[in-house]
Amino acid sequence: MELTVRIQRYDPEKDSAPHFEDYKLDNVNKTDRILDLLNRIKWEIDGGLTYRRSCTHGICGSDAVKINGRNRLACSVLVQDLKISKSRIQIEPIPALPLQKDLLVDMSSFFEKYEIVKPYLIPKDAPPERERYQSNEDAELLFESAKCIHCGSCSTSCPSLWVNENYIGPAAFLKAYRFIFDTRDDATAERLDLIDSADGLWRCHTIFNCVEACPKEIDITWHISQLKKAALSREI
Amino acid sequence: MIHQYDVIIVGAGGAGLQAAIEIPTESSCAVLTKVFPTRSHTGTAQGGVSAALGNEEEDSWEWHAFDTVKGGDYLGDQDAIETMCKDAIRAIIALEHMGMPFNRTPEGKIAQRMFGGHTANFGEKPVRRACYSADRTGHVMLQTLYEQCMKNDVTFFNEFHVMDLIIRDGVCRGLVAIEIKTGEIHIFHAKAVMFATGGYGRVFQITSNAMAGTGDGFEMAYRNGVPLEDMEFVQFHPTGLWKLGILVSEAARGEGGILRNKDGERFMERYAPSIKDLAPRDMVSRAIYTEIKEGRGIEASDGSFYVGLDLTHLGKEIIEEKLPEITGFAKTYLGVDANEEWIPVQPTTHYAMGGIPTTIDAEVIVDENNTTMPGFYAAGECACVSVHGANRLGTNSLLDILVFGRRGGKKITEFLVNAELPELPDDASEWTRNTIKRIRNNDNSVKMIDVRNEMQFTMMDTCSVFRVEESMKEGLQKIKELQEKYLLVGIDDKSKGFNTDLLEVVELGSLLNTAETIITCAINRKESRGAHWREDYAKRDDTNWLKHSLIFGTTGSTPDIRYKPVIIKQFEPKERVY
Amino acid sequence: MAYRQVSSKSGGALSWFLQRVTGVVLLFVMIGHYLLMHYNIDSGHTYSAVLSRMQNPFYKGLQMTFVVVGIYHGINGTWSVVRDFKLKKSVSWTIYALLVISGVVFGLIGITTLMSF
Repeated sequence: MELTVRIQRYDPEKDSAPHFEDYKLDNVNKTDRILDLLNRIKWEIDGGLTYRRSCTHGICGSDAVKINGRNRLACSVLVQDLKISKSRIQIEPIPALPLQKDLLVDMSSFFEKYEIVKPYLIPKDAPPERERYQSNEDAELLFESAKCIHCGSCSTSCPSLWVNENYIGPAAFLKAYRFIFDTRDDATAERLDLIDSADGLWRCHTIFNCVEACPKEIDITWHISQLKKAALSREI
Repeated sequence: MIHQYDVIIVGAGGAGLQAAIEIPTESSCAVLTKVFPTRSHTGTAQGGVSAALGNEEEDSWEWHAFDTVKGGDYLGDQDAIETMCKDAIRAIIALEHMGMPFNRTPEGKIAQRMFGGHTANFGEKPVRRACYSADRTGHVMLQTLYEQCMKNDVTFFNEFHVMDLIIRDGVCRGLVAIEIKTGEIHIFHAKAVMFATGGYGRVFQITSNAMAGTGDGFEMAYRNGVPLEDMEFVQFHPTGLWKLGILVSEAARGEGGILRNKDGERFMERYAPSIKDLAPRDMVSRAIYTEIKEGRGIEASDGSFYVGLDLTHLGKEIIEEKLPEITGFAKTYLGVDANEEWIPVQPTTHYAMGGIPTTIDAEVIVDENNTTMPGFYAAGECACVSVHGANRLGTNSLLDILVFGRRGGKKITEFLVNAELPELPDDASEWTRNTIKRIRNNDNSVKMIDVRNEMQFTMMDTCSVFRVEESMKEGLQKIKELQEKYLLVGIDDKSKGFNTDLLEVVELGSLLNTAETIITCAINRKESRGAHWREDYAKRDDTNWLKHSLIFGTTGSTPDIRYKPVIIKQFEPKERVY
Repeated sequence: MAYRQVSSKSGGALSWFLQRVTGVVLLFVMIGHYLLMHYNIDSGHTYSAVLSRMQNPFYKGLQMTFVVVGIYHGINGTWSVVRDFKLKKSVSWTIYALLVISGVVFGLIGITTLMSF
C-alpha cells in the first residue's frame, strides 16, 4: 500500500525551528515496522534523516519516538498496529527533552535522574561465599521493574515532567523500586530520602500516561504506589 | 581535541563494562561507545549464562569444559576453555553479589535450565547449567554491570564512534574517534586500549545482531596490521524469527520446545538422537536447511520456507514465566500466539567465533608465535581466545564476556604499573580525516544502501550455513568489486553534528573488509568443522586442519593466511556425535 | 541540568496521606450533609430548628471538623498543584503564605460563626 510518513525535521545547523516533511512510500506492507519505514526514507530518499536505532526488536531502547501522538518504539510498532487516517502517519521526537536533530533528543537529564536514585545494589554485609539466597517470589517482585529499557517513553509522556523538568520521573522511580524492594539491598532509607522529595514521588498524580506509553508493558504506576506506601510508612 | 588516559575501553557491552569495573580508581579510565551503554548488544542475549553451579543437579566444570570443546568441534584452545569454565562459577556468584536478579530454585539458589550442547558426564544427557532471568538474561546482566559502573563512577564517552587505532612500531598508542554529537575528531592518547566492540552480524542479510553490529573492531585491528583468527567460523542460530532474523532463544528448546517440519515430525531426532532439539547450533541450523532442501520445510505465503518451533505443549504458565519476551516477539512481529501455534523460524546469523586473537588475559596476539602487542587488549565477541572453537555453545558468550572482560581488566591493571604513555605520532588522525573527506566529497552517485544490500545478499548466498568453493570464490570476487565501488559512495547529509549518514558509510567500510576476511578464510579451510560446513569437503580433517587460521593483510593487498596450533589438553579430538 | 536535591523533611508523604484521609472523610460528611439539608425535611429548616440543632455540642463538633477538614483539603490540594510547577522560590513562598493566611482566615470565620450559636 501507499503511505505518507510525516516526520518532524530539524537541523540546528540550517533550520531556525522544527518543521514537518512528508515522505511518500509505496509498497508498504502492513507488517512493516515503523523503523523499517524510517530506514527506507533514510536509505532511499534522504540520508540526512536522523534517529537512534540499534537492536530493531525493542530491547535496546534507542528508538522511542512519538508516533501518531503517542510515545512508542519505532521498532515495536507495525503499520497494522496503527489507526491510519488519510494514509498518513506522523512521527515526532519524544517531548519534554531538548531537541538535538530530527528525531533525536538530548537524554542526558533523563539519565542524570536515573543516577540520582543510586541505581546499584547497596548491601550492608559482605557477601557470602556463594550466592545470596532469595525466594523466587522475592525475585519475581523485581522482574517487572528490571524489564525497563530506559527508552524514555514514560517520563517524557508524564505531564508532571512537562511542567517541571526537575521531576524525577517514572523511569527513575522504577529503578529505585528495583532496589528498594530487593531483599538483598539495605539502602532503602537512603533511596527513599532521595525520592521522597519536593520533585519526587508526590508529584506523581497517578495519571497513568507512563503505563500507557511503556513499550515493555510495565505497570509503572503500581510500582510508584508501592514506593509511596514505603515512604509513608516511615512517617506514620 | 586530544585526551590522555591510562586506559581506553571501546564498547560498553558486557566485556567492556566488566573490564572497566576491574580498573582501579587510581588509574584514569574511559569507556567509549557509539551507543548509550545500556543499548549495547549484550542486552539482547536471552536464554542464560552457564556455570557448573550444580544448583539443580550434579554438575562439574570439567563437564562444562568438555561440552565447550566438543561443541566447538575440538578447535577451541583447551587451556582457555578450562580457565573459562572453572572461573564461570565465581563469575556468576559475583554477578549475583552485584545484584543481578536471577530466577531462583525453591531453596532460593540461582535457578538453572537446559541449553543446547550442555550435558552431564561428558555427553550423557542434557544438564541444567544455564543461569537465567526469564528470557532477559543479557538485558539484566548489562543493566547490572552498568549499575556497577555508576557505583564506581566510570567515565563514559557516549556516542563516540571510534574510527582508527593508533599503532606505530608494534605499539598501541591510543585511538581516534568522532564525537557523534558534534562531528569533531578526538584523539584518545592512552597507555592501554581494550577493544570490546562486539560482532559483525550485519555483514549478512538475515541476522539477529543489532544494527550497531558492524564489525568495526575487527576491521580496525585488521586494517592496522593485527591478524584475525578463525574468521571462517560464523554461527548461524537455528531459531531466528522467520524473515526478520530476530533471535528466539535456545531457552525455548531448553524449556521443552520442539522443532517440527511440515509433517509435524520432530526432525532433530534423526540428526541428534541423544539430545535431539538441544544439539549445538551449527547442527540444528544445518538440519533445518536440510529439511527445507529436501522439501519438508513449511512454505510461507511469499514462497520462502521455514520450520516450526512448537511450544504449544509447554502450557501458558511456563511460557509467561520463563519465555515472555520471545513469545512477545512472535506476537508483535508475526502475529503468532505461541500458546496456540508454532513459531516460524529460520537460521539467522548470530555470532562470530573468530576475531582478534588474544591470550587468556585478553592481550592481543599479532602472529602465529603468540607475540603480544604492548597496550592492546580485546575481549568479548570481537576477540578470539579461542574458547568457542568452530561453534559456540549457547550461554557461553555471556560467560566469555564476564570471564575475559575481567581478566583483561586485571591484566591491564598489572600492565599500567610500569607502563608509560607512548609517544603520539603527528599523523594519528590522518586516515580518519582522509576517509571523512572522501565520503563528504564524493558525489552521491553510488548509494550506500545498494552496496550494502549487495554485500549482505552475496554473503548470505555464498558464505552461510552450507559453503562450496566455487560459489564462495564468486562471492569474494563480488565483495572485491563492492570494495572498489565503496570508495565512490557519497552522502546526502553534509552537516557536522549527528551525521549518521556519514557514519553508516564508515560502518559499511568495516562490514566490507570484515566480509572479505570471512569469505577468504572460508575458501581457504578445506574441511567441515563446526559452523564451517563445506559441501565439497564434508568431513572434518584433523590431520590437516586441526589448527587456527590467522589472516593477515592490510586492505588492498592479497591477504596472507598463516596457522597456529590448537591447544589440546585433556580432551583428545573425537568424532562429534550427539 | 541542575537537579535540586531536597531532604525528606519537605517530601510530602504526610500531606499526601492527609489529603487522601480528608478526601475520604469529606466524601462521607458531604454526602451526609447534602442528604440532611436537602431531603430530610423532618429535621426542619426553620430558624428555631436550625438554632437548636446548632446548639447541640455533637453537631457543633461535627460542623467544626467539617470546616477544618474542608479547608485543609482545599488549601493542601491547591498547594500540591502549585508544587507541580517549577516556580521561583519567592513566588512559591508568596503563594504558600497567601494560602496559609486564607486558610487561617476562612477557618476563623467558620469557627466564629459556629461559636456564635
